[in-house]
Amino acid sequence: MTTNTVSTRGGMLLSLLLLTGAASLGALTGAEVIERMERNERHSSAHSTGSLQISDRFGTRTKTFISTAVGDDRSLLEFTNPEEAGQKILRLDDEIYLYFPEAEEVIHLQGAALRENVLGSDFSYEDMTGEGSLLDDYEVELEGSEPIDGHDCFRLRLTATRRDVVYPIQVVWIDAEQFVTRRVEQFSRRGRPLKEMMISDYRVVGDKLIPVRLEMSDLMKKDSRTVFLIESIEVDLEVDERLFSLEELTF
Amino acid sequence: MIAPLLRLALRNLGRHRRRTAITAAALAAGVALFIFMDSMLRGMDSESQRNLVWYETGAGRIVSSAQHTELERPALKHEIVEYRPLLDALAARGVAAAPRIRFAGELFFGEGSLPLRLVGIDPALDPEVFRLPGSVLPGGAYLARGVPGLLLGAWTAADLEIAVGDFVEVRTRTRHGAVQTLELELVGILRSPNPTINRGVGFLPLDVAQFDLDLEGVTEISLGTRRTRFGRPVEREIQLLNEALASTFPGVVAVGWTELARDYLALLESDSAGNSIMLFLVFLIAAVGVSNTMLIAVYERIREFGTMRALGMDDAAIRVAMVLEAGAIGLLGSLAGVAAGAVATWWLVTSGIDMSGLYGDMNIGYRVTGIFRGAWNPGTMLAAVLFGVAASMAIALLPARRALKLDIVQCLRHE
Repeated sequence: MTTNTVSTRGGMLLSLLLLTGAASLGALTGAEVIERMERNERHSSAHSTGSLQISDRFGTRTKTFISTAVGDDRSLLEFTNPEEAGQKILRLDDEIYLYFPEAEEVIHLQGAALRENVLGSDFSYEDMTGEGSLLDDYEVELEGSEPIDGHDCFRLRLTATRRDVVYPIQVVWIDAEQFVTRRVEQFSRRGRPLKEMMISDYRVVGDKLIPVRLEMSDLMKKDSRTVFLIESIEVDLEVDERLFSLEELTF
Repeated sequence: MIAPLLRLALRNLGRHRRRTAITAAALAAGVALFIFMDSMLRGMDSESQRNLVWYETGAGRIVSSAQHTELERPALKHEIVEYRPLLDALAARGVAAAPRIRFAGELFFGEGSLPLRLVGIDPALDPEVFRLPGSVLPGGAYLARGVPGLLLGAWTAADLEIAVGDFVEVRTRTRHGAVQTLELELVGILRSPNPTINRGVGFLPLDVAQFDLDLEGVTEISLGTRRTRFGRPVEREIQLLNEALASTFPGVVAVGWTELARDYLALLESDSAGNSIMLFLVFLIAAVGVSNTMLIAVYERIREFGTMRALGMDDAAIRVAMVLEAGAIGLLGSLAGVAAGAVATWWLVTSGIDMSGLYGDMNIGYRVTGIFRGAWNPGTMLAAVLFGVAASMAIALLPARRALKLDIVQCLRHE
């Protein structure tokens, strides 16, 4: 188990440079950049607390949560803010279940319901599913490099290789030094920008770089923004598998 | 025996003109109100069902067998790919048919957005089944093949403050689930007698929808009403159609409008029970009025009964004379009520009641907006007359019986 430790940025950079080997950057292909990024950001399990700050034309609301996840396919998120206290979202593979404590009811989200936004945020339930490698779904083209917030980044164009991929086109900016995602733009099949995600802060936890501040905007809506903040996180810890069951959801 | 008693009864009507007029008027008011209410409720039901068929369901729909198992959740994955031979087969049978694609999306305009049901329609074939072109408000146009236009209900257009010529964006999913956006020009605004068209639904050309949604086929083929009737005959037509299509097109099923609108019809059924209670209450109020005046009329004449009995007329004859008199009052009142009810119904059928001030752009379940029109129902009128006469006669029996229980002296001394 790795505890939540925030290193200084200098130390983090040094360790990452040693890991990645800056000298070989120029020879990387787009797919290799994605592989390095995924290797860097992924972890076997995580337990975190955080908040969602949801802003739209009606104002800003804050939701707090506790989250536990194992691998890419099992997670349990429980809201802790007074309005939604006890509401849970359980993900089992590509299935999503909602639990509402006041009604003591579990709802299995299916089909179009998965496209609904989580508590009116810019994240959909669907965004919580399908965490496999990007390389399984996309053809990657390295378009060049661009600075994002002062960080040199690879600009990659991801084009879906299958017709059933939710976002047919994505443009991803990956930090050329730390191999973490800095920005993502998602497009419709017609090429219309849909969503933009900016990751402005990472935290070093063991040998992983964990994004702790994500800002998601729905580009089709005016003034629509959701800030996803991780306050504390532990990764690669042992998690009781029974937590991810319908029985535990209602317990 | 009856003839002299009938003459006596009719003569009594003339002798007590004021009482006769008051009693008949009470009954007439009740009967007229009953006919008016029945006309209005029946009119709402029939107009609502007609608007449902003309604007929403058609006489029926052909869907894929997979879609048939979940009719309430239209899904692009259940498309009918080979729909053109099916259209040819339907044309050969003389059935009007319109291919459609039903899907969901989110409409964006300015700072606003709202969820929308979208329907891809063939601008040339759709008017064979549905009556949308006639609902396009002046200043707008109907859809054209290949042109990315949109028809939107008037209430939705008002909600979004959108006008003809404005461009909107629609976010939806392709047949395979990928996010897709469509840019469409609002070419027309629809104001339909069916409120479900006025809010929450948009129409675009079929070929535009097919291209953007990655579809080869359609999700349904709507069937026209030209050769079918409402109600049971449609079910028979659908059964025959299914038998005819089974061998050539095994992957599709025809469904009648009564099955498509099962929830709505169930709602109507429960409403109908409520309507019956309302009509019963109207009748009860009329019956109380009639019984009251009839009761007074009988008690006023107890001394007269005493005289008739003293002169040798037996109780049975007096009872029959009273019942006949009440029946005659019932007939007069009912006929007057039917006449007044017919005038009110004529007005209701031709002009209707404008409920837009009360309901505005609210959908109250009925597929009727603005003006609620009545329907003629000769059966109700005949029943009202028969019921008015029978009820009056029955109501007269009780006080007559009580009066005749008194002896002759008590009758003659009755104040």
